[in-house]
Amino acid sequence: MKLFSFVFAGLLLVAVVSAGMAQEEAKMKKEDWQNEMNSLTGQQQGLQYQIDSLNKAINSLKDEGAGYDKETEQLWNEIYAAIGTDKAGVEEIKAKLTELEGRINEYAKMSDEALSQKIPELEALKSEVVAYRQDRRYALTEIFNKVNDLANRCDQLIQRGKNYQPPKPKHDTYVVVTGDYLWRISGKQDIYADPFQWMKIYSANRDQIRNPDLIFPRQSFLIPRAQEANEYWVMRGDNLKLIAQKVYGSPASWVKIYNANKSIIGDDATRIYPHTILIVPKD
Amino acid sequence: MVGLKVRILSAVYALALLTIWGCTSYASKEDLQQLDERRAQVQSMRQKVTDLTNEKKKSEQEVQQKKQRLDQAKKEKEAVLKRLEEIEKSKQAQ
Repeated sequence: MKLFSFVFAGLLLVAVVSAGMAQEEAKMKKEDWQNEMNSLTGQQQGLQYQIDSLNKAINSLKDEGAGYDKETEQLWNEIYAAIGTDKAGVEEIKAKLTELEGRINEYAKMSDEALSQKIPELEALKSEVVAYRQDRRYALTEIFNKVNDLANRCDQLIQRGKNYQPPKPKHDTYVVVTGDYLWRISGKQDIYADPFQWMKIYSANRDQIRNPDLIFPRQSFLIPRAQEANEYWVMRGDNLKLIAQKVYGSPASWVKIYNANKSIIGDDATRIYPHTILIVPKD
Repeated sequence: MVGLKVRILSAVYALALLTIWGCTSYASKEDLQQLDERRAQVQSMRQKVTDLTNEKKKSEQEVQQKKQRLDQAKKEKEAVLKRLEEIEKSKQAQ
């Protein structure tokens, strides 16, 4: 019993002491603390050196930049003095050129047809722009480029106006005179200069011409000049299947074309003539 | 007899442990606080180095731009003087 008491007391003591030591391990040993403090002090010194170096370099860069600024400003003052102007004078010409650019932009939005009627105005505008070439401020690169760019834009607009051609009408009209017949009308220089194209006149005027051999003075015929979207002008070598292939992408659709043009083709769908104008129904 | 040996051994063991424990020196609360402060200072200095490095890069870029502006101004002066001569010639021709 005594032995047991002593052993138990010993173990208890060991346990208490070990627990105490374990708790103390959470604390830092003085030696470790000192080592870390020394390490941090070393780092601080290194970092302070870096900070000082960086501050020095930044100040040096600022001085360098200020030197460049001063030199640049001096150069610009010399440039303005040579031209005989100042910053305000340059801003003034810039504002005037911006106003001219706005006017040019308005013209640029116009159609070629409208420009064709504004050519004198555009030429006057160009003269206003080009007049700045006599201004000493034109020597400045920015002004030089702007003036030349605006002058070029004026030229382009004038050219657009000059190049404009009104679209040709899709039909002319012709009034039949005594002695006319379709072959003769078609052969006239101001009509087709080709008598073989009489079928065009016949096709376009089916409502007035029942018999192509019988036309009357004072009849007014349409003279087709350009193919309409819903038309097909027959060419040499065409047949309905070929036309259906070209128009619908399928030769089988030839019936659709034939049905729409029965009155001009007649009963024989295999026989169509060059220069006939066929109506093409929508797919 | 056995009891005496056990008692002696226990006492020796306990004494040894207490001696080891008692002889170890530990940092005080103040020491630990000082260590934390020092760590914070180092961290703050590291941040400052980062900031200054960035500022230096920015300054270098600015200087580069200023140098370019100066070079442009030099070229502009040459071009302006040349064009002024042409403008004068053009005026005289008219």
